[in-house]
Parts: sequence; C-alpha cells; structure tokens
Amino acid sequence: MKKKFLAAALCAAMALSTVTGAVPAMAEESAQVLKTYRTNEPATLDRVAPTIDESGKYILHDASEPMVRIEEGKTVEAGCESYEYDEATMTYTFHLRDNKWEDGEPVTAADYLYSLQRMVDPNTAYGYVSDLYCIENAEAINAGEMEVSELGATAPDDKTLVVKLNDVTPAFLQVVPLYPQRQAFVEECGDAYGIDADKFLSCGPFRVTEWEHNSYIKMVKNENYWDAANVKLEEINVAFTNDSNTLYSSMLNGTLDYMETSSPEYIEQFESMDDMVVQDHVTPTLGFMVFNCEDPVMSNVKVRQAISLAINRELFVEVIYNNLSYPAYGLLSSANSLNGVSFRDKVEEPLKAFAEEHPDPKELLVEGLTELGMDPDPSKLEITVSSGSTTASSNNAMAVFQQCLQETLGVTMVPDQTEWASFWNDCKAGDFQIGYLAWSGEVDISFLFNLFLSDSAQMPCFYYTPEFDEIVNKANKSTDDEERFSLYGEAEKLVIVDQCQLAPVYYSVNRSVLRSKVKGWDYNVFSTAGRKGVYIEE
Amino acid sequence: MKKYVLKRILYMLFVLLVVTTITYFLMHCIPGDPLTALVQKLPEQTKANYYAKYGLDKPVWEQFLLFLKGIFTEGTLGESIRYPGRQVLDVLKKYSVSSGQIGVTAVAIGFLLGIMLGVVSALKRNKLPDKLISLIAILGVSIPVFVVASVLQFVFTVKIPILPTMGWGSPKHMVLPILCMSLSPLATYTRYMRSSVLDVVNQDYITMAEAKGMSFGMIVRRHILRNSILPSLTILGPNVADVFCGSFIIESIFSIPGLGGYYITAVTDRDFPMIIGSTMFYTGIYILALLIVDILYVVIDPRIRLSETK
Amino acid sequence: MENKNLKDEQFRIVGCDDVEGERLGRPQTTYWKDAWRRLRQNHLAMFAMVLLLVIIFLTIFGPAISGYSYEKMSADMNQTPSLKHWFGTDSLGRDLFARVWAGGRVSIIIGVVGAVITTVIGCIYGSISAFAGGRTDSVMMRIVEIISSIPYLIVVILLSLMLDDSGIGSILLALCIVGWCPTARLVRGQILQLANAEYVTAAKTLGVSNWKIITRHMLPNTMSVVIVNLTFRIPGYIFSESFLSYVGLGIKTPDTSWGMLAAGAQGSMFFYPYQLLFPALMIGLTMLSFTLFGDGLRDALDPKLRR
Repeated sequence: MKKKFLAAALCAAMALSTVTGAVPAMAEESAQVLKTYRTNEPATLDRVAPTIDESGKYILHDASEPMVRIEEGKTVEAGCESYEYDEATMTYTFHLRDNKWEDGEPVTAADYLYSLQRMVDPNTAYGYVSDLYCIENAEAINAGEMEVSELGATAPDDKTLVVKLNDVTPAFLQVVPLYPQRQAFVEECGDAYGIDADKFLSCGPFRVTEWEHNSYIKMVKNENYWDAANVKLEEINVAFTNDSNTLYSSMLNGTLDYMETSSPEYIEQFESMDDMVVQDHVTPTLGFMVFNCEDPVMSNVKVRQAISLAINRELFVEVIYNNLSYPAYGLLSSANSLNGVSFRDKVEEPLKAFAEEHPDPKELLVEGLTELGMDPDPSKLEITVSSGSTTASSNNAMAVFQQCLQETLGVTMVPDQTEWASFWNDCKAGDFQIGYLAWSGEVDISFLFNLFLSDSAQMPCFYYTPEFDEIVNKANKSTDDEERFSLYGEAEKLVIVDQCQLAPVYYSVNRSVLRSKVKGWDYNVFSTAGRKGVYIEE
Repeated sequence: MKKYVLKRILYMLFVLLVVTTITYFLMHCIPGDPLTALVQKLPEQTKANYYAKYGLDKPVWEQFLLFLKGIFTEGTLGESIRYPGRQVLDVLKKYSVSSGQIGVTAVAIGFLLGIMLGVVSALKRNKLPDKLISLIAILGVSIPVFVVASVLQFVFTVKIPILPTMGWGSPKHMVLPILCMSLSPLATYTRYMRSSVLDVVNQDYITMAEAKGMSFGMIVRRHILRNSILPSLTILGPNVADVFCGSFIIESIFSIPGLGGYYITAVTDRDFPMIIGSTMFYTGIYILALLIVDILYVVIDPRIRLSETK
Repeated sequence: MENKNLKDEQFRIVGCDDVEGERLGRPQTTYWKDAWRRLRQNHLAMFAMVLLLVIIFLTIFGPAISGYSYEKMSADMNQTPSLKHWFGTDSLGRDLFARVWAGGRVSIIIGVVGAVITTVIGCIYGSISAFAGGRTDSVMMRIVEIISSIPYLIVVILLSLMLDDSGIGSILLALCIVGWCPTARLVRGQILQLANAEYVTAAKTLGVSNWKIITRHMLPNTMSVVIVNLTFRIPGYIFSESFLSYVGLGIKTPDTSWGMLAAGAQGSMFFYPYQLLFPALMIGLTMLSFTLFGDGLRDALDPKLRR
C-alpha cells in the first residue's frame, strides 16, 4: 500500500509540476498595458439598469462614449462635436461626431435617444430616474401616464440630438447620463444586455473583450473609435479584489499599477519607492450619523445637537483613518465646487461656530432631556448606534464613538452592527435610533441636499421641513453661483445645526498609489475621462 | 443494493424538495428584499414595476408555486435579481467548474496525503514523526486560512515571483488556492486517520496476519486501511460539498470566479432566485456525496448492512 | 489418572477461610480509576492540562494583570511588544495583552462549551440512529441532511433577529443548531461498523439492554474518533464566532474574541504581525493542549493498551 500511496503522491506532484510548467513564462507583453482594479465587479454595464454601480460606470468611461465628459473638472465634448443651449426654449442641441461602434456601424443620435427613453421608462426602474425629471414629460412617463415616445427629446437626424427641458437646470450635463445604446442590440440581448463581454457593445476608446466574473475584465484599444489616434494604451486589465494584502503584494510584484488605501504603513513603504507616486484627493463622500427624529429621545433637537457635538472628530480621523480623512463639520467636502470655485472656500462649516457657542454639550443634553420630561441624568441614558458594516474598521469607529459619548456626555452607547441589507431595511422602516453610514456625493453640488427633500425623502431621518425644501429648490434652479452658494450654505446650516438631522463625522480622502511610469492620470474624483489619455512611459 | 440506491435517490429528491421549501420561506422571512440592498429610493411606480417583473408582488406561497412550475415546465431556476440577465442555472454551471477544480483537487490532495500521514503517525506513535505530523496538523487548522493565503501569496509572488498573484485562466493560477485549501483537510484527515488506525493496530486479526507472515504492506492495505478509513470517509462527503459554496475567502483573496462569493452575496443582497438556486445545488451535491459515502461504507466494510429490513 | 500414587498423608487440612478466598492480589480498581491513573502517568497529557489551566487562569485574571483596560484607547497606537505593553497595542492604542485575555474568555467558552455540547448531541443522535437502524435510521439521517443543507447564513440572520441580545448564549445556539450534524454522521458510521462486532453480538445474546450496549460497548469504542472531532471543533468554533459577527450575532465592540482579534489584524498583517500572532497563538495553544490531552485520554481509555 505504501508504494501505491507513494505513487499517488508522486502522480499528484507530477500533475502539479506539469501544470505549473506547462505555461510558458509570461509572454512578453506590450508595454502599453494598464493593470488596475476595482473592489467589486460591475453588476452590469447597462448604464440605465437599476443595478448600475460605480464599477460599471468606471468601465463605461472606457468602453462607451458619453455625449460629454468631465475632464480635469471641465465639461468637454466627447460623443458630440459641439452643443448649444438655448435659454429661451430651454433646449440643448448636440451635434454628434463620426463615431463608430466596435463592429463598425456608426453611432447615431437615435442611440443616445434610445438610452434616454429607456431610462425614463418605468419598466426599466432606473435608480436615479428623478434626475431626469428636468426633461419634458419625463416625470409623467415614469409615472406611467404618458408614452415613452412623448419624451421631450428627439433625434431629427442621425447626427443631432435635441433635449427639451421643462425647467432651468444648471446641472443638466452633470446629472443626466447621455450614453449611447443601440436599440437592435439591446433588444436582441434582452435582460442579458451588459452582463457579459459578448452581451455588450463598446463605442469608447476601448472595447471589452473578456469578462471573467468576479475575477477580471480585459479591455483592448478600439480601432473604430473616432479619436483612436490619440489613444495610446493597448490594453487595460481590471482585476476585482478587495483584499488589502493581495493589493499590497500586487503592487510590489507588478500585477497592478494602481491601488487605493488608507493604511499609513502601505503609504510609508510606497512613498519610499522611487517608481511610485502617492497622491491624496478629497472625495465628496461624507461619513455621518443620521438621527431618527421620530425616536422618542432623538425627537428633541437639543439631544441630537449634544450628540453631534460630543463626537471628537479630530480624534476620530486620527485613530480610524490615521489622519487620512478630514474631520467634517459640514455636509459638503472641499471636493464639491461650482464652476471651479470650491463650496468650502465660500461657506464656513456651520458646526464649527455652533461648537464654539456650546463648549459643553452635556448642558444641551440635560436641557433636551428635561424638555422631553425624562430623567435629566445622562448616565441613565442608553443610546444605540447602528451600522451596516461589521468590518474591523467599523468596529473601531464604534469604539471611538462609545468613548466620546461616554466621556463627554456620560451616556452609555450600545453598538448594533449588522450586515447592510438588514441595517438599511431597519433604517427605512424607522427602526433605529442613530445610524452610522457614509454617503457619496456627486459632481452636482445639490446631490447631498436633495436627500433631505421631503418629496424624495431618501435619508431616513423622518423629519423633513418645507423651509428646507424651499431653500434647496430655489438653489437648485438658480443660475447665479453666488446666490447658490449662500442658499446651499443656509440649507447646510439647517440640516446640520438648526434641525440637526445628521451629525457629520468625516470627509473621506482617497489616497492612491500609482506606478510613476503611468502618465496622464486624471485624479479628479468626478472625472469621467476614463483611461483615454493614460499612457505608459517607456 | 440496486434497490437501496434507487430508494436513496428517491429520498434525495424528497430532501431536496423539503430543503427548497424551507429555504424558500425562510429567506422571505429575513428583512429586506433585492431592492433594499440597492441604496437608492425608487419612485413608487418604478418600484411596483420592479416587484411585478420578478413576481415579488405576489404572496410568497404563490411565488413558490410559480418557482416550482418554472423548474418542472421550463427547467429554469429563474434569473438573478441583483444581476439581471444572469440565469441562475448558467451561473451555477459556469462557476461550479472553477470552484470544483480548485476545491476537489484540494480535498483530494488533503485526503490522500492526510491518510498517508495519519497511518505513518499512528504506526510511529509517540515517536518523532508522529509528533511532527501532529504539530503540522494543529498548525493546519489553528492558523486562519486568510493568513496562510496572504503569506503564501507574498512568498510565491513577491519574494520568489514564480506564480501569479491573482486571477484566473491558466493552471498556474490554481496552485496557491489549491495549496491553501488543502491544508485544513490535510490536518483533519491526518488526525482522524491516526486515531482510527490506533484503534485497529492492536486488534487480534492484525496479530494474526503478522503471525501468518503477511507482508507489512499487505497488512496495511488489507486490514488496517479497510478498518480505519471509515471516519475519514464520513467527513469526506460534506467536505466535497462544502468546497462549492464555502471557499469565498480564498476566492476573494485570489480573485477566483467561484461559487462561494456568489453564495454569500446572494444572501446579503437578498437575491432570492440566486439563494434558492445555490441552495438546491449545494443540497444536491451534499446528498449525493453522502450517498456515495454510504455505499462506500459497504464496499469497504462488508460487515455494514445498509438494508432497511433488519 | 496420573495422581494414582499420591497418598493421603501428603495432604494436610489448612482450613477454609471464606474472606481470604475472595481477596484479590491487587487493589481493586475500576475502568475509570485505572484510566485516570494511566492518564496521570502521561507527561504530555499532564503538561497539556497545566497549559490549559494556565490559559484559563489568564483569561480570568490576565486583563487585571496587564494593568490596562482592554477597552480604553490611548495615544500609543500600534506599539510593538515591550515591557510596557507585553503584547503591544492595537491601532486604537488598546493594550493587546489585556485584549487577548479578555477575548479569550469569549473564545474559550464558545470553543470548548460549543464543542462539548455539539459532540454530546451528535453522539446521542448518531448512536440512536445507527443502532435503531431501518426506517428510524433513514428518517433521522434525512433530518440531518435537511438541517445541514439550509443556508447557514439565512438561519443566523433570522436568529439574530429573534434573539435581541447577542450574548454568548445566542452565539452558542447559532453554532449548535447545525454543529451537531457532522458529529452525528461520524458516530453513526462508527457504530454501523461496530454493530456486527463479536462482543456486541455476545451482549445481545446475553440479553443486555440496547441502552447498555450503546453506552457500555459502542460509545467507548468510538471514543477515539469523537475525541479528535472534539479537538477540531474548538478552533472551528473560535473562528465561526468571528464569522457570526458579520451578521451582527457576534460579540459587540469594545468586547472582543480571538477570532475577531485575528480578523481585525488581517489588513496590516505584514506590518504588525504581532497583532495577529498572539490571538492565533492562543487559538493554536488551546487546540494543542486539547489535542495532547485528547491523545493521552485516548491512550488511557484504550482497554487494549492496559498493562
């Protein structure tokens, strides 16, 4: 038997060695290959599907051609040669370029129109459909009251797309995604459109050639692209992984050219390496606590304010993010700007002044508790902070909150961490006291404000006021930047201080490591430029 | 025997039905639906359409009947809701292959090597080889798998760059995952085997065989193995089934397109068709593995009777 | 007859002593007493027991010995082990020595109690199933198959909703709810094999009750496998506990466990390996002591090794 076992073991070893030996040493690759990653794979590449996610949008920046792109903070023509806006009729007219799909057929205005129509079609269930309500009849179509064909957008010829708005919308080009989709192809694929390499049609600088789910997407240069002459990369490999040790090893051995991290140890190591460039950029993502204002205790604004003030934000970003994030005293980070002017340069963070007025949050809490007719002794108060994340960093964040609330207010804090779906379900149902989460803003400055409007009511604070609605709606439609700044500033003060539906905690910062031979990288967080201008320096 | 197998296969279908039914109703008890997992709040009309499209607006029992109908009339397990367009059956077919390639190879290596080491360990009881093997076994299960994976990854892709860090496609990509996944089975089978071999080495028939002048190899093969392999076989069944759904840590570290990740995200995303599909798949493999193990019992030890009439 | 030439005078009457006749040469000993005696002679097993006692002692008094609170953050973040912080500190500046032992309370209880409970349930279920045989066996095994096949994650999420507090009790429940199934199959397999052994047939013929056959003959003979099963369960459950915290059933911050400490140190394991080393070492040592003790116990219980 021993012999047999030995034989079996030998066979196994041989099989393994042939397996490893069978593959020749990696073929000499073309130099113009970019190796990057996403933490999760796209749910779909269908831009209008309800499941479209950040990874999907990321791939689409490379594999599709939006009407306009945002490059280095500026709006530039991409799918169109030029566009004009007529203020009197509130109409956008786009003049398309001679672009082709990867199979050689021309991209037409009808392709752009088709995706717009699909987006407002109630059967599509596109998640951010309310962003399109600025287009004529869009809202009625989405409510099922009108036909899709009645949308205020037309394609008079193959090269022209006309979109008629029903109201002044300064952010139109930023919030309405204008991506082409070929009707015949989409209908042929049905529900499967955008879920595999062969179920997707590229018309961007690159085309998707391989998609191994949960493993990688491979894109190669699209020779049919209108600007192919200026696309230098031959290939882009996007791996899907979220394991920090894998990323670390991959950066060291050249499997990846780019990674993001918040770990100071990694940064220290990469900063000391000559061939790496480390860059910081503030994102529009806000980490915050949302208060359930219908909860008996949280219904009192002074209690909420006290809790908000009790959080030591400097301590938080130091211990949780190693100072890689910034303490947040407002709703918008410095990433958000209007025509190149940062919101934060114009408007002071409202919570800072308030904190100076109230050096001892405990007093506020006692007042609040007295108003509620409760025992004013904070040590008898127990509050629950829920979170939809159970990662180690989320555990640590909870520990910091616990310590802050205990030391400053003397209240006991109970953490309640569950998986996301349960948490979010509880939040929507109002079954929580305080929720801790992060929300990513968009290029459009109004995005985070709109979450608190009473008719969208996206944020589960269960306290929406007409006063706030009025200010934000006015700001959204204003074309005067100064006026918008001051109106949003007012709205910010309302939601963070006066009504205190949320307690901001930190503005997230992305720290990225890029191999220095990779050039032309657009670091702007709102950039939709994709990897079109990226190249490898030889 | 034929009758027994037939009977077991009938039971299998019954168990599959029961598990499917229970899981179907249980998963509708957990809070949240596929729309909750998406962050955005959809307009009411949109939401209603979405629910109607996937039949989520109907009572659960009606959905269940429709689901069963789908299986019997069209042979479909439905379409993923979280990943629209992906047929559950296609996902299972495609990714069970990669999970299976890695997992089954890992378990096979762990099993064969474990048996061998276990026998050696028992025959050299309390001597150096035994102690060494036991130590390896203890390390094999008490070091978390993600540590082993990350360290091996670091050593073989950074320090000695001979293997790819992550990805899928060539046999080279399988080496590290297989290595990591075979550790725990290796440890397990070694210890079980050591223990059960010790149970038989002092039996009279071994002494008898020795007295007859039977060669050592023959004794191990004819008597020791046959009588001691049963516990290892028992755990082999579920072990094989588990590799299809329980390997998500390794999958995520090495970016392997496997079923483990799908299984977990299906539950956290409340992707009902995907949950029920993977459960049925897992159950099928699990019961099949148990049946094979039960049959092997008889093949290996004829004293065992499986017949139901006693 | 050979003794034909023996004569009467060659014999003498020595009398008949009833008491002395029954006396045994050696002091009387039971099976269990004997096992205990032999266990005590096994140095490795005794060493394992001492090691385990030390670990248990430290989980009780360790946090106090450290002089730090296991939940208190400080400015000394990510310190390597030193005289000040014996095991170093974590990313929040908490003393790891205190945290490792505070976490050990949870892990030891969950690992050991969970393993024992599921093993006992599994033994009883498996032996009944195998011994009863026939239709009962068939039904009992189908139940095992059904319970093992329902997705664990769903069961645990539902449990976390039903059980509002997520103390050790609910974690144990979550682990035990399916944990006994593999043990039951293991024991059943062993007993099926033993069912036709000569001594069982003998016992049956002698009219020994089924219960006695199971407890006296069959279970002791499956002991060795059951002990291995038990020792493997311990690290298994310690890691499972950290998985449960994923759905909110685990231990809540700032409390901790070995599994959570290990998982939390994963992200920076190349930079602060000691944060991972100590909890992993404790899991390993606990398992080592149980394995060594189990081996010793197995040797001691093995009637064939009796001298």
